[in-house]
Order: sequence, then structure tokens, then C-alpha cells
Amino acid sequence: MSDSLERRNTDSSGPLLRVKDLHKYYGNTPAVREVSFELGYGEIVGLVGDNGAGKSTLVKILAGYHKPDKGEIYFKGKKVEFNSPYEARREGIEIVYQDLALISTMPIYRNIYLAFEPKRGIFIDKKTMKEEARKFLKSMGIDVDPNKLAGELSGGQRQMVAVARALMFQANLLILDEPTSALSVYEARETLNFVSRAIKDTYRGRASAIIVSHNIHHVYSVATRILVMGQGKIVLDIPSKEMSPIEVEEYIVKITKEKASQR
Amino acid sequence: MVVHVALHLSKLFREKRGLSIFIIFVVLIIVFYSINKLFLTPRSVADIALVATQDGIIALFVTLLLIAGEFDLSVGEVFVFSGMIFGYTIPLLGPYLAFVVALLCSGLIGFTNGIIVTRLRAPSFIATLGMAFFLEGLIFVVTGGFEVTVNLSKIPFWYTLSGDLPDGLNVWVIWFALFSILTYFILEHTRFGNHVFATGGSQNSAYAVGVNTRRVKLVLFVATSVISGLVGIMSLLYYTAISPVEGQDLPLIVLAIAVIGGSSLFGGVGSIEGTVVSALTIGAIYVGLVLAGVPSYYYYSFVGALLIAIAVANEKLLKRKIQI
Repeated sequence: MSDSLERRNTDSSGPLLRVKDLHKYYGNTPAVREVSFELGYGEIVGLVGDNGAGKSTLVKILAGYHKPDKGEIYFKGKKVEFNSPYEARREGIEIVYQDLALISTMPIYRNIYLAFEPKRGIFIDKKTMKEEARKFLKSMGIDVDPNKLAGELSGGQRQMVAVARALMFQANLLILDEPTSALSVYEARETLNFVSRAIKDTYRGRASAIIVSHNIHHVYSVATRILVMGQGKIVLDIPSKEMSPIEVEEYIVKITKEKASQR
Repeated sequence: MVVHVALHLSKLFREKRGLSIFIIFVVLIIVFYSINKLFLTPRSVADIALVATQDGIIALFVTLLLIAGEFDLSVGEVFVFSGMIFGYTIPLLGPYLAFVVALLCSGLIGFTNGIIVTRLRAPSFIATLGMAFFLEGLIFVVTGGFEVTVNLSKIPFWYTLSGDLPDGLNVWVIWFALFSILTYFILEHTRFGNHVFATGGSQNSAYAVGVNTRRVKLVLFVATSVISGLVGIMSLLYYTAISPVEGQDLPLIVLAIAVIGGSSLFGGVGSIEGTVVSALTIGAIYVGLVLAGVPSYYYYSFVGALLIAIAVANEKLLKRKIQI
């Protein structure tokens, strides 16, 4: 884990993340525009909005998967420009995608260390990988054998292992992109509780999370602040206490209708 | 009891994909030996090795490429093209520089394949098939359809690439062993190997966690091409001639070796051990059928049937184990 530990010099005086006037176009269509917001340490933010509102594009920019066309990102007080997901992970931004979480054909321990494999000389240190993965998964309360293939896990287990991987590398910012959409009701609840427990207890004050979902009730069960996106912009930014899930849902329906009537 | 044993066996086959070909290899050895005792004489073993090693060395690299989710149909034409460049430039450059130039050309072809696949996003089937046709045309234009010949057998350096060993073996056995060990360690014990598995398992997932999937594929296309070019030169040195049509079956035979050895055409799965045993099996079938008095045409039918049986069985076993 030598690669991952270097990134832990955190300056916790300012916000963890500051996004300024971010734009991203697909051809001429703006997917994200004029997006600015800040995120403090220890916050769990729910990012909601209708399909095509720009949620996924926004988090993929933060995770280095896409490059923005315009705008600035400051992370831990420093301006950052990521050319690849690898660079974002090295800085401490981990993202868990709904469908891209783990590679089915690879053992869990190899999945966990993928792109950050510990080495002994020129070879990867499989023994350490297996032992550390087993210990860490156990400490997170996930009862799986790290030698199993990821494809042998249930959907819920896969998401939890993917989240655990992000936390193992001590991410400062954990992004979950539709973490519950492929899960059963029970698995979704387990996964969300797991994330909430990890951020609030295990990593208190050191990590923040952004949870993207169009299931507003799932988001509300863990988020302390809600960001609503519509047509590429952030249209609402409030503490979750100030608005009920039903009101947020109605708000999203309202802006979607407005967009439809503009056509 | 029987059910219990069957369940255990089925689990074992799921865990170890290369196992099926290993068992088939052992069974074939026993069958061929019981038909004709000449099967395990040094002369026959040398014949098996000759068949297994030339194709086997290329199959090792094609295995890596398959695990990364791509394949290369141009290896046969690169094999001939490299031999041709080598033979034609010796009078101008001398053998050593000609050797370097031929390998550089092979690498450049692999690089082009890699760029077409990773940057222009053409499927590797189309990219490398197109490259194979392109090279084939070029080879016929340059050679006019005639063989390329060289004779360097007296010079020690070239002996290391294609010389004879005792008992009818040649040094290709040593090269095959060395490349097997090299590719095994790369695949199983290096970061690059881990990234090869990841890239073929799910390119998007691998990229999303930080694997440079384009670089993985590009490196493998270049390596496969350079090795095909090297084996082309080794073959030219050994037989002192290479024919323009010699590479036509090669891409499909090496693909068959890799798949029979347990590599998946869908990427993410495969092993070097499987490919090594598979290459030896193909050699054993070739020699064994001859010694059994079976007309040599049956060789292709036999390999074809084996290919289908193993590929179908392996995909079924994998699907039963994981949800893809």
C-alpha cells in the first residue's frame, strides 16, 4: 500500500472539495454546466435528479473518468486536474459504480488491490494481498473468502466489497454512483447501512461521501445534505432536514415538467 | 458416494480450467503408446516438440492477448513478412542488422494493430484480419510467390535460434521453455499480468479503478507481433526457406491451442500452463495419428473436434460458477 499512503497529508482547514463553474459537453449538448459547490469533511451528500440530469457525468469528472471542458476542481485545498481514474484514486477520490464495481472473473483479493498492487521486488506480493484483504474485510464485517471470484458473490456482497476497497485505500472522498439500483430491497438497505456506518463511525471526520441515486428514499436514509440536479445544473442545495423526500421528489418532477414544456 | 465424487470432480474442473486438457494429454499419451510403442521414442518426442514449439511460442503470447480480451489474426503473415524482410535485407545490411530490422518491422505492425484497436476502436478481429490481408498482398508483390531462402547454419549466433540438439531435438524446445516461464511469471506474478486479467475481465471496470487498459493491449499487440516475427526468422533459419503461404493456417492454429488450453474468447480467463500442455497435446496428436497409421488429414478433424468440445465445456463450467 505504499502508493496509497503518500496521499494522506490532509489540510483540514478548508473544504475537502471545491468545484468551480464546471462544464462538460457531449457534442453540443451540455451534460454538466455552471456547477459549483463545496463539500466539507465528514459530510454525506445525496446527489439526486432525474435521468439525464448530469449526476453521473458530474461524479465521473470528479473521479477522473471524464475530463471537464471548463471549470476548476480543488481537492484538499489544492487545484487538481485528473487525466485518468488512476490519478484521482492516488489523490484520495474513490468511486464505486453500480455496474462496474468488481471484475467477475478475478478473485476478490486481486480486485481489491487492482491498480495498487503491493510489490516485492518486481513481483506482486500475493501473500500480503490475501492476508490484508482477509483481515480488512473481516474488520468491516464482510464475511467472504478473498480467494473466491468476485462473480461468485451476490449483488449486495459485491457492492460492499467495492465500498470496502474504497475505504481500505483510505479515500477522503467516496463516491457511490447508483449503489442500490441493481440490488434487492434487503441488499440495498444493508449496503447503505454499511456505507453510513463506515463514514460516520470508522472514518469519522476524515472522509466524505457523495451518493448518487434516483431513489430519493435510499439517499435520505444516510445523507445529511441533498443536492438536486436538473438539466446539467445544481438547482437545489439544502440540508436533508429542511425538506422531506416527498417534497424533493415533487421538486424534481416539477423541473422535469418545466423542461418538457420548454420544448 | 458416486454423486459425491462427481460433485467434487465438477468443482475441481471449475476451479482449474487447464485441468481438462492435462487429463486429455495424459490419456492420449497412453492411447497412442498402446497403439504404437514407437510413440515414446526420442525420435517421436522430437517430432512432437518440433510441432508443439513453433506454434506454441506464438500461442503463449496469443494467450496473453486473449486473456486481455483481444486476438491477433495477423501472426501468420507477420511470421512470413519478418522472414522475408530478414532474407531480403541480409545482402544489404548483413545478418545481424537484418535481424534487428525484421523484428522492428514486426513490432511496428503490432503497434499499428494496437493503435487501430485501442484508438480507432476497431474490433481486433477486423483490424488484424485486415492487417493479415494487407501483409499477404505485400508479401506476394515482393516475393512474386517464390520462397525466401537463407543459409546461416554455420554461424554460432544463428545456431542458438535454430540449431539441433541431441536425439533429434532442436533448440526451439529451450526457447519454448524459456518463453513459457517468462510469460507465466508475467501473467501470474506481476502488476502487468494482473492488469491483463482485469482488462479482459471487464475493460470499463478495470479502467474505472485505474488500469491503463489501452497500454496493456498495445504492449500485448507489439509483443505478439515481435514474437511471431522472431519465430518466422527461427523457422526460416531451421528449414533454410520460408514460403509465402506458410503463415495462412498459423493464426487459427495458435488460437486453437490457446482455447484448448483453457483461454476464453471472451477475455479475462486463461493460463500459460494450459497453453503449454495444449501445444504439447497438438504435437502429440499430430505424431500419434501418423504412428497409428491414420491418414494425416484426420489431424485437423481431430483438433477441430477437441477445440469445440473443450471450448463449450469450459464456457458452461464458467457460467455455472459466476454471473457474467
